[in-house]
Amino acid sequence: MAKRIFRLPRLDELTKDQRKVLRLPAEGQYLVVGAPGTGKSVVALLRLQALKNSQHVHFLTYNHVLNHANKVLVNDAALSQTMHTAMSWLYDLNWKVTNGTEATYQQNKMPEIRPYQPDYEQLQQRLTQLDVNLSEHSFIIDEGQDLSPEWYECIEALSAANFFVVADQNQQITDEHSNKDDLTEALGLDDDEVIELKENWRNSTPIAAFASYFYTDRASPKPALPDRPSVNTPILFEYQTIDRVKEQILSEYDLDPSKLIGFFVANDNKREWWEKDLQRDNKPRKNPSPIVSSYSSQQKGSVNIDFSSGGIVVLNDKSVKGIEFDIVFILIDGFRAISNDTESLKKRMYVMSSRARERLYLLKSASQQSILEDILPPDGETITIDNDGQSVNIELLKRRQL
Amino acid sequence: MSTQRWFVVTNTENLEFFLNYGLIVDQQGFRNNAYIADAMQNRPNGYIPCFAKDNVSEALTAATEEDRHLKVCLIEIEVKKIRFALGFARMDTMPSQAYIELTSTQLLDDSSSAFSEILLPAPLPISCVKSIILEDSETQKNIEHHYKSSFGIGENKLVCINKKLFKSPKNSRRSTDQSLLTSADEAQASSRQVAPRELNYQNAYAYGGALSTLYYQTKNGRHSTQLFNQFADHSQDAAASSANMASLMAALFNELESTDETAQLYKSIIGCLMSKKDIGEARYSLLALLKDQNALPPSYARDCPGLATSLTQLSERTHPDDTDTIFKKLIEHYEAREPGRSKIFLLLTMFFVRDNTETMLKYYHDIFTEEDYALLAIFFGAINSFVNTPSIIRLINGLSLWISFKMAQYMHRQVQGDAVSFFEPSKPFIVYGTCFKASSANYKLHDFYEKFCELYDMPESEFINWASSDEMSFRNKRMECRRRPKWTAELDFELLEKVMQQKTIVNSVELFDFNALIAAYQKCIK
Repeated sequence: MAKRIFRLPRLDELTKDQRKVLRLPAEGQYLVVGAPGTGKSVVALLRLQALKNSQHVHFLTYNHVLNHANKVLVNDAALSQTMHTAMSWLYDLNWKVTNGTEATYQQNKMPEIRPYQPDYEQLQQRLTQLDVNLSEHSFIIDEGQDLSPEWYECIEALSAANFFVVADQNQQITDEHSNKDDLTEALGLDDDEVIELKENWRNSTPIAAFASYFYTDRASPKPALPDRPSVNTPILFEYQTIDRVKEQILSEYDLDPSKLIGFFVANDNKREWWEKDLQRDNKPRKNPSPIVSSYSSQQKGSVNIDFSSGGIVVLNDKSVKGIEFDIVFILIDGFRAISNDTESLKKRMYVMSSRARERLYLLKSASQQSILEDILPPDGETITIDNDGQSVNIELLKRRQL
Repeated sequence: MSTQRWFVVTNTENLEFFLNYGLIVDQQGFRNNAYIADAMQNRPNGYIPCFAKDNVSEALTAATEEDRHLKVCLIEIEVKKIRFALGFARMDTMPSQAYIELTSTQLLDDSSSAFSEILLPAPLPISCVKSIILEDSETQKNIEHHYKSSFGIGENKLVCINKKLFKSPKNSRRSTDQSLLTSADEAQASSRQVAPRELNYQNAYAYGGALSTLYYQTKNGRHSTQLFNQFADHSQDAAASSANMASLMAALFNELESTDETAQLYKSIIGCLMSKKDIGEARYSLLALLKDQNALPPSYARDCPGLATSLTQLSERTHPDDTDTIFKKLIEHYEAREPGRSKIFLLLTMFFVRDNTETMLKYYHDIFTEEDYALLAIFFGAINSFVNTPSIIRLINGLSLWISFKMAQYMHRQVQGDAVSFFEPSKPFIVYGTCFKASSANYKLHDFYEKFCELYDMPESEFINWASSDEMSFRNKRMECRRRPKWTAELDFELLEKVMQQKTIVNSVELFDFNALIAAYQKCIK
């Protein structure tokens, strides 16, 4: 098992805008918006580090996997104690302040409209009656668009005044999500308290350009592309037999076992099958076999992905948001559109492809037609970037046979 | 001797840049738009402005000009550790941007107390920092842990608070000594504007990266240690040890000879790679270079396009061979043509196999020699520069401070010969030659060998032979020792080197921890 190079960036590696965000005072309310790869999570985590010596800081995310990855990235036991999913933190708060016990479960449990859906009005009333006061607390919220405006209003009603929320409305995945206006209103923000990060900072230019091809948000402009050419153009591999897919992924790992590879598939059945199949590898290789892990939303908080080591993580495309991998493979076979909604397919493709930091590969069967194939950039499609005054063509997708 | 204190006045973000890059630099030394405006922006390029303690007010304002949320700091410079032939100084009363010439000897003189500001030739090594002074305890609390874990500083009260220094009055009067004022008047008459010095820091950062990464490889054995010493001393003997090492050194030290085409190619490659921000871009530029017949030295023009094809296949994951086979074929092919010919191709191929110094240092191939590992370290260290040297290496006791000195020395020598020099900090601990001896009866060293084997889980018997030197005699038909037996540990260096390489490359999860070895040695020898 090889150690992964997974660390927060140094100051000089950040953009001027990111650094400006990091200097915001510890007190106050701020909303940082930006497309995937603009470094929102990074500034949120660096802010958490900067507030290490402050009391009552809570770093909250919507997604369990993202929370787990963030803890590894911060690599600090004391700070990890402050990191939770927003919902588990809220359920814990309710349980603690009501002094809940097994005997009082019915009385003290979270008031809910339906399972895992708090009745915020009732909860707010209860917490206010119990004199819960959060004025001394600071909240840093990652992927803030996935929480409902009611969540924010409920916490604000408890005198919470210090919010630092990072969000991207193009990545909403929940039905109860908040857009930029909702968040601005819920937190009562002035214009100078809303900061936009515009520069793609995570992905290499070809990956950013490829992801950008699927950008659907009409409300905000496409994120600016990096201006650096790169050899790492996304590749669509067409395979004859399924064994070639397995070999391609395992040999990618063997080439550099310090890399964490994300392998995204269309549904949970495929996810389970591939997780088992990738673990069965009898071919002699330079390095020991990789740890192959997986996660599904049914697992809730028990995330067993080791973000600090190289390995392979098989995921259903709905679980990938917010996390990043060094290398991503997307098996495009088996995806389905709901009522011919191309836009939602593009959105899924956008989120999946922007997870890749260094390399992105798509895989498709030579004998099957994939609905995603129809939305891919045509053969030879390029964009032009300005690199140090020179125009450079960037190919969006190469096609190769396996 | 003057007791005047001199401060670089800036913000904690520029300070962090200095510590990360290992040098106190002028504006030209900042990379990736990292420079945050401070007093330096209104001073001639190529100099580090330092202010007297009662003249920091304006500079403090300038240090937060870009953003009011920035935190100011004072970096106190120990000027007695610097020797220079040409710096500059000014007094409050002089016209704006006018300076008089100054030598380091004058700076240590009492008359220097008449100066309100001096310009020292950039860059300065971190070893010249006497203290880092902050305004409040909150800032100290926020940075102290980070500075300790990232730069190994924070001990010996290097970082401290002194609120008074930040409240110094503007334009306060300095010395009232009449003789000093008279000489000041004379000096003022000869004042002039200072011409900027154009500096390129890339090579100094590359040199620091190469030197620090090569130091790490000294754990591999005596040959690596010899190459490190030659590289550090800029020794001409390097050519005898390794022709490729000599070519790499010529490229890094700007000493190209028209006949050395390997050095020319190294120079082009390093120049092409070291300014690139990400690995994909660097590889893109390298492939373009390898395909450009006009940019290649004649003897490489035939081979490089073929290599470019192989590297493209490697990059697109369509190469038919695994990496070990690629290296093996490459070495066999080029070495059969000309000994040493394979090295440059090996380095370029590794650049497409590993994108990070740390993972490169863990790549093992049984065909690689100690020289190969040393060359890989120099190459990866140079293109990634000192700032990207893995932190476990940067945190080796005394290494970063010494590398900082070496980078500053390198830079000044490249620009002005020996016109600027610095007090040299202790050279980092050398494993072979210090703690391993071919033959030793020193029981303290024996204790260390035992501890060493325990620490790295190495079998002692694999490289130590114990010999007893007691003198035996027969008396009354009985064998007796004339004195207490004396044991000698005889080391088989070749076996030790082999075991070390096995432990630190093949089986390594983390990079080799020099500090644990140094601590064990010092504890046993004490």
